[in-house]
Formats: sequence, structure tokens, C-alpha cells
Amino acid sequence: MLMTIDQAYGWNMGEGRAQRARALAVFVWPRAPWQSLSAASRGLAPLSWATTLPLVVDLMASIHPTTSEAFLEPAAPAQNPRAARDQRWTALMVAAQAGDAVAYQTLLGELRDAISSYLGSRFGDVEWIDDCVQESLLAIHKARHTFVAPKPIAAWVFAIVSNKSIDMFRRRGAGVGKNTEASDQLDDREQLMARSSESAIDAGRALGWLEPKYRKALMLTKLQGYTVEEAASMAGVSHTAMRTRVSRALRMVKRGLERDGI
Amino acid sequence: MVKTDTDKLIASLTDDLQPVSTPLPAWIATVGWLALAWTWVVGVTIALGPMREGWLSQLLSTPQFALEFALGASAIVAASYAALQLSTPSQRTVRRSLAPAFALLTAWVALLVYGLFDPALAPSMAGKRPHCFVETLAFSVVPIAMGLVFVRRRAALDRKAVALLFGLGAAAIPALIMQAACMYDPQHALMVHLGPVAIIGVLSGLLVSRFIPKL
Repeated sequence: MLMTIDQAYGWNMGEGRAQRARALAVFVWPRAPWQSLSAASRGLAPLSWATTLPLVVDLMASIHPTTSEAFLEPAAPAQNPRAARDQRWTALMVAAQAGDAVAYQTLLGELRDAISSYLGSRFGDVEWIDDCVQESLLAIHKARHTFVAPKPIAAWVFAIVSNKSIDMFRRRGAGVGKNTEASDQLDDREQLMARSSESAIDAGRALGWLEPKYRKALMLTKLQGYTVEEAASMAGVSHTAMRTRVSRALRMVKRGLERDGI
Repeated sequence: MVKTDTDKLIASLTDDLQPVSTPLPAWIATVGWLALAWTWVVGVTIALGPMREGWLSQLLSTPQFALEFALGASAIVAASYAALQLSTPSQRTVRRSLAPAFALLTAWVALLVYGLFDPALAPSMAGKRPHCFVETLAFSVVPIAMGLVFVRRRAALDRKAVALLFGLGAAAIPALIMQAACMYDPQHALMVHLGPVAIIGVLSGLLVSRFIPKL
């Protein structure tokens, strides 16, 4: 009878990735010091390549026909909710990369909520969050082949989200100030400003890492919808200085989001 | 239940989902790009003119010259690896990715500046190539194009940084080869061999970045 690695080494092997990793560790490094010690203490000879290889092959074949199924299998309970979430997302993404539409739909649904909450906590209740969530999901879809398990999926996802949120900031600045003579657009802008002035308070909290002059520049031009010229006269600085402040503020927000992590 | 736009988007993205394959790991792609780029630059350099006589013995017998070479080669590897790493989303910041390549390039330039006062080899016109400036510029075009092929299946978040790094790496290869194929003089190397590296780096960041797919 083929002895399993649990029996040989006394591990409490369930059906999780950690156990498979240990099995692979034995395969890659059959005479690891802790194994030798552990085996010797129970009167067993340390495993060699010749004895380990069939054990590992047997173990892997009996448990997992494919990699994606391996990741979809319920893993050992994670230490904390964030780690559990990352494990789940990784499993779902690996399945999605293999073409599993149900897993992908579940993943995108969870990501939608997570991205929305991430953006809300950082920028306040601004009206472009839904747009940014959609753009982020679209970007994640386009880039889904670039995720490689077991790299941290949250870092991968939120790098994309941070990038998209900065893009959104930039585009808003470019779009809001254009054609302000048109009366219908002015009406829209008034409404936008009314909504934004409330959300700006939240946003100010989320952009707390900026110096006041940069925060003000960003809030006036990107959140409250003033043109650079209007914002410059309100802040009592030149048009060029305001443009520079906005540009620097955007860079600071980007760096802040990168530092901030997930 | 009313379906929101985001729900509809998710449904459309998951509809008819096809399996995808992951791109080459960054280090494998780096090795591939370096192999192709070096083959091209060395090949075309030798095809258009001889290497400087005695360059190999100079390289093996003069530690400072060998160090110049090693720094140049390390900068090329660092720039291309950073470019390929940055071409997929990750938590790594652009600044952190750029730092090793820029540090090595700066060290290379600094050693050549030091060579103005204490040259590794006696400055000489021996082996001078008449068009080394143009050659350095021209030889880097193909490696940049190869780089675009390597990143086409990736998803760069900062296209300018990726293009800048590829430009620097691509132009640094002929610049380094010219140290063995053209005359040795630190001043000549700084102005005529490494000058194009800065030019190509900036041009690549501004122009070539447009050819990198936007995520």
C-alpha cells in the first residue's frame, strides 16, 4: 500500500492549499532539516526523491484534476477576513481565467462592492463613483489575463482602481470647465456644484494628506466644477499657479493612493 | 429587482467568457528581449564596422573599464526588467520601479565623468567610427519596436514610464557596445554615446508610449 505523506510525517493533512504546498516542498526539497528531524524523532527515514515523487504525484492526482479546480476548492479558513477575501478572489479569478463565467460574475459582483466602498472612503460621496466603478471593472476585464496567482490579487485590483480614479479626476477637470456659456450646461453645473459642495466635505476628509492649498485647488476645480481661471481668482493666485497646484495635487493624490494600499 | 448599469456591464462582461492565458513572467520576457536586442545591436554594429582592436583584452585587464561595462550592462537589465514589471498592474509604484535603473545609469555616467580626470584607458582616436552618434540613435529603434511586441499582451497602467524605460534600455545597448566598437575617450562617450540614450529615452516616453495599449 502506498504510504501517504500524512502517515509518513504525521501532518494533519486536510484538503487545502497549505497542505499541497507542504507536499510540493517535500518534492522540491526532500531532505529539509525540519522533515529530517521530525521523521527521525518518530523513527522514520527522511524521504528521498525516489520515495517522494510517487507520493506527491499520487496526492496531487487524487485531489486535483486541474489547477483551477484546485483553487476553487474550499481552502483552510484564513487568519483574518481580508486574507479570506483575497483567497476567495484569487480562486474566482483563476477560475475566470479558465473561462468559468459563474465564478467571474461572482468575482465582479464582489469587486463592484469593494471598489465602490474603497472610492467612497477616499473621495466621499461624489457622483462619479459609479462611473469609476464601471471603468475599473472594464479595465479589470481587459487586464484579467495579467493576474498571476498567487500574487496578491487585492494589490493588482486596487492598482487598477487607483489609476482609474486618477484618470477620472483628470477628465472631470477637463470636461467641467468647457463651454460654460451654454445655459443648459450652466444649469447642470449649478446642480453639480450644489451636490459637490456637500460631498466635498467628505472628500476633504479623504484627501486629508494634501496641504491645504493643494486640497483647495483640487476641490475647486475637480469636485466643485470651477474652471482654473475661476478657482485662481477665488484663491487669489495666478492662472498658472492654480494649474500647477492642481497638477501637483493630482500627483500627490496618486502617490497617496499608491502608498495607501488596500 | 431593477438592474443597474453596473449589473448590466457585469452581465455583458461575463457573457461568452473565453479562457485567457497569462503573459510571460517579467523576468523571462526580460531575458527574451535582452537576447534579441543584444543580438540585433551586436550584429548590426559588427556588420557596419569592426570592433576596436584589443577591446577584449582591455576589458579583461582594466578594472575601471570593466566596471564601466558592468554598470552599463546592469542599467540595461534593470531598465528592461522594470519596464516589463511595470507593464502589468501591481502595487509597485512607478518611482520604486524607476529607481534601480536610474541609479545604475547615474553610476555609469558618474564613472565616465570621473574618467574625465582619471580615464580607465588612455584616450585615443584608435577605432573611431565616423557615425557613432547616428548609429547609436538608429540601432536603438529596433529594440524599442521589439519591446512594444513584448508589452502588447500586457496592461500597462503608466505607459510613459514603460516607454521611457524601454527607450533608455534600448539606447543604452548600442551606447555600451560603442564603448568597445568606437574610440575610447570618456568625453566622447558621454556626449556621443550616452547623449543619444537621454534623447531616445525622452522621445520614447513621449512618442512610443502612444503605441502601448491603454488599459
